[in-house]
Amino acid sequence: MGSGASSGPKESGGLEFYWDFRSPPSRCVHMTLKALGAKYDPKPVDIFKGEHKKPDYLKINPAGKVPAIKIGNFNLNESRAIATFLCNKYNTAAAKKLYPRGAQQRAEVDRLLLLSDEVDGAIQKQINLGAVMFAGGRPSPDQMPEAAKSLKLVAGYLQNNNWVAGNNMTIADFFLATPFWLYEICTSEDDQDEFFSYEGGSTVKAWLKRIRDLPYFEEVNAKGLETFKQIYSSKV
Amino acid sequence: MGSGSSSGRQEVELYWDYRSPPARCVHMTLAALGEKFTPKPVDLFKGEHKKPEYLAINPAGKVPAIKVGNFCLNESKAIACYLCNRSNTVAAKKLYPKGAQQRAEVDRLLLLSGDVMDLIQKQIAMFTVIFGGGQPKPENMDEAAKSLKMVADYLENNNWVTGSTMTIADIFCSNPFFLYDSLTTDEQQKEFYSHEGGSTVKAWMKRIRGLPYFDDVNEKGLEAIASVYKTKLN
Repeated sequence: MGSGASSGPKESGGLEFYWDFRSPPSRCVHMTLKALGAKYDPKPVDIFKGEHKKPDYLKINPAGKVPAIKIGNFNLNESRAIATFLCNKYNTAAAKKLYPRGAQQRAEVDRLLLLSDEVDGAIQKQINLGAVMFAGGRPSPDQMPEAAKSLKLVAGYLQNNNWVAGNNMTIADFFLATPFWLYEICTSEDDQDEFFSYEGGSTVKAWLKRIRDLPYFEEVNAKGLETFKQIYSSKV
Repeated sequence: MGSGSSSGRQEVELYWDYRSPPARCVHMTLAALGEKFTPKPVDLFKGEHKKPEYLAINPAGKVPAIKVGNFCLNESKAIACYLCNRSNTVAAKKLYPKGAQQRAEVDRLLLLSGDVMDLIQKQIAMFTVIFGGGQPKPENMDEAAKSLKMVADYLENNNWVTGSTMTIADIFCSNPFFLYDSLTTDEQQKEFYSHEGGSTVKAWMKRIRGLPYFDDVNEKGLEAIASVYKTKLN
């Protein structure tokens, strides 16, 4: 599972990471672990086999979802809470850039983490991922203008910077980019050309490329996104 | 509005509407911190949140927002965390602990408060009733009541959702239940709180309602929303 995953509790500092490689919020936490260079004990949970609903896993996360982490007796769920916790816990230079300590800079990241819900909401209006994959729903191609509001929103924060919070990459970049990865696997190239031609599109495209170029991006995301792509396209 | 601000620190300007639930969460946080602030009311019903002067503060055109010097911030949870982060008082450190694990417990619950509100809204449908000509959905009470067990599971036998100390998580997680109470009949509330977790949540809400600043922050706003809501139902 790449550099960072250790073979056991001792090497991993006792951090257990429970996740499914297909789950978007799981991949946000996985990106955070990679960016931190944190060691962890990988505990894959196959949601397609229902492993997230089994008693053993419910002891870790009673909400029965992925991701979750466990350190000693402390269990934590909610991907954003996990990402911020990991950064708070590690006193490294990397952690302090990924989730700044100063009140104002931190607030900028906190605000952006909350914004990821709105970005996802806009994108889902067109791709309708959950419904298509699991509930016989359909995509709504006529909703592209609504979905494209996400571009203007994110570009407004990016402006001329490389990252959404300014000059440094932060965990906000991982969470805000996620809905756009999903958009790309659920639409054709022609659709994407049209989508990214909306206001903010070229700024967001350049930023997405910056994230895709990170050394650990493929390892964390490629298989999961490909799997979703295959399932989604088979349903439509 | 309290005497806690340290000298030399810039004062917070609070842009809010007393009726808005997330705005009252930020107001509660300021009150709990004992933080002085300059009130800048923004009347949502008069559309003041969409005017250019306000959009300059918060381009998203919603309340609440704060301004500290040149720094503008929106998103109620981000604001509450920021207010605690910038303050070095004992109160701030209790409301939003600094230790990674304790902080994560609060962060997780802040995110959960959104789920609690979503469940409550399945029954009361506040937005569609007030702004969209819709109706409440009393048939969704069982669904809405899942919020009670959700929160009670965190409360367990403690006074507050993270344990023995009140944090901003209590402010945000309780907010939907106070809204529920103001928009439903006594009979509906009796049935609602009879669901699993109901008595635990009720006792916790009583604890919060007993805070010295609770009425000041919430009473008028809850009454005003209730009044508009009820006229729309008739």
